[in-house]
Amino acid sequence: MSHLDIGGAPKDDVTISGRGNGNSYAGDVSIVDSTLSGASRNAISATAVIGLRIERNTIVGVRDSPPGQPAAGIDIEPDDRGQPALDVHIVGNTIRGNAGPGVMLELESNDGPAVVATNLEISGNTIVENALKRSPPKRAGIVLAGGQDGGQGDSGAEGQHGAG
Amino acid sequence: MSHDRTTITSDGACIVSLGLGPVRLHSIDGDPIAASAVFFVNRSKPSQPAPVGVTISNLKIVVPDGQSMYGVRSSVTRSL
Repeated sequence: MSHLDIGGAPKDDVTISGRGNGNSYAGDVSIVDSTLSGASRNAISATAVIGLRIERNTIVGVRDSPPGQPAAGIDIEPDDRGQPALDVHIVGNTIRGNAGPGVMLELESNDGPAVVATNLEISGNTIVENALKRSPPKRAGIVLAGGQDGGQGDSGAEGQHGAG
Repeated sequence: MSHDRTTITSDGACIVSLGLGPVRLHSIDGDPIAASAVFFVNRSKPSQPAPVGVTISNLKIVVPDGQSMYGVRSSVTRSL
């Protein structure tokens, strides 16, 4: 996906998942040079993915509607511990003005820590003026919650600009 | 979108959601999966694999308020 302008009031601007595809994960997905706005839940949700690049996008105005949504600019959140979050790169985006976190890696599902959650990169993004509402359950510029079972995962967040 | 190596592009077209599309898939536990996005990228029947090599570019996509719809739902698989 490239050079898209997605807006209005979608539930998510873009959802990446393996639901119904026979593999239970999606793979080799890229979202680049696009503007994503107006979502009620998240601008980008990824629940099960192997190979995802999110680069040079502008992600704004996630609304948290109805209240209590993650309301993140980017939410990497397996539905259960067996769904992978592998080889995910979030680079060079501008993420601002969202009701919840700018980026959320929610890697501990209700049934335990993720079996595969590694090679996750967050670098060179501008993340400012997020967590604007009190109603989302987690509020920050970047939320890192949980991780690969046993602490074996490899993730990095560096070189961001902004203050949340 | 269910065919391998499909490209959707334009010089700036705008596509507006009208609501849910047909149910062609079901989840593992039997829940119906409707085409709930302006671009719903998945297989079109359970006997087929998910598509690979799909490209969507240079478009404006709008979901009006009041619809439980997504802009893009991608369940593409990895190229082998």
